[in-house]
Amino acid sequence: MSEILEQERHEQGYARSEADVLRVIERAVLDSDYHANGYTTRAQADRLGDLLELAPGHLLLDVGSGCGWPGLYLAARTGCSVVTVDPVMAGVRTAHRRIGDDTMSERAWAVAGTADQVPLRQGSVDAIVHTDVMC
Amino acid sequence: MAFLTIEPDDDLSPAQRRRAGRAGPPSVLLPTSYPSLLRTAGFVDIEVVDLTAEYRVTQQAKFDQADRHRSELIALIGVEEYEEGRRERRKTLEAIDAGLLSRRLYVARRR
Repeated sequence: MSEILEQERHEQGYARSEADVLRVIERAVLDSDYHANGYTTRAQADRLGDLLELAPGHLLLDVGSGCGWPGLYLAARTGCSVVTVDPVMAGVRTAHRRIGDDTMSERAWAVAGTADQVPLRQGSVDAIVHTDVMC
Repeated sequence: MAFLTIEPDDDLSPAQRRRAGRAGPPSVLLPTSYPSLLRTAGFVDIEVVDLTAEYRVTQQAKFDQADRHRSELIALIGVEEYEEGRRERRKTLEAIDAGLLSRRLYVARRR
């Protein structure tokens, strides 16, 4: 039951994330504009990208990415391809819109899924990232 | 793989661990450790970097921004949810300052 409530809370949060005040706060706190609501700053996202040595031709999997942060940002910054996965449809829809807005549809995909049911073949990704997912 | 997570600090008493669970995000308490989970999943060369100081800065920034934009946030989410969020963030800050909650960066390689 608590998992369902948590998912509903996230649905509500992502649906609200278009509000101007939340975008202003996100920019000020995280230096992000991806409807992020966690604790990963842009500098930390950059660090993840550097540690994973992301580059064009690499496929990144971002598990529990919500609206696409930081996976979509890392793909835009490094040129890698990315699949973002989240069980909350409001977040997946927002990520999908961002992919279109950034004209990244040839190398970025936002799909619904959970960490234990990722819709990808084993061994098909080069790197995995997740931020503030199990907490 | 590289990931960022919030978890209870090491070597907490059961009471401290419960307090960390109440002050942290949902599901912050795990029955095992992240290094153990990584090893079980076949990852090696596990590195851990403590980012708690940065977490505190971010949490404080969220708290301060919520204060700065109080009227707009109340118009969006209502005063009850706004005040509850404020209480939760304060509780988290106190838990971080008490050494109960940490934020860590884990990096590992698949064998």
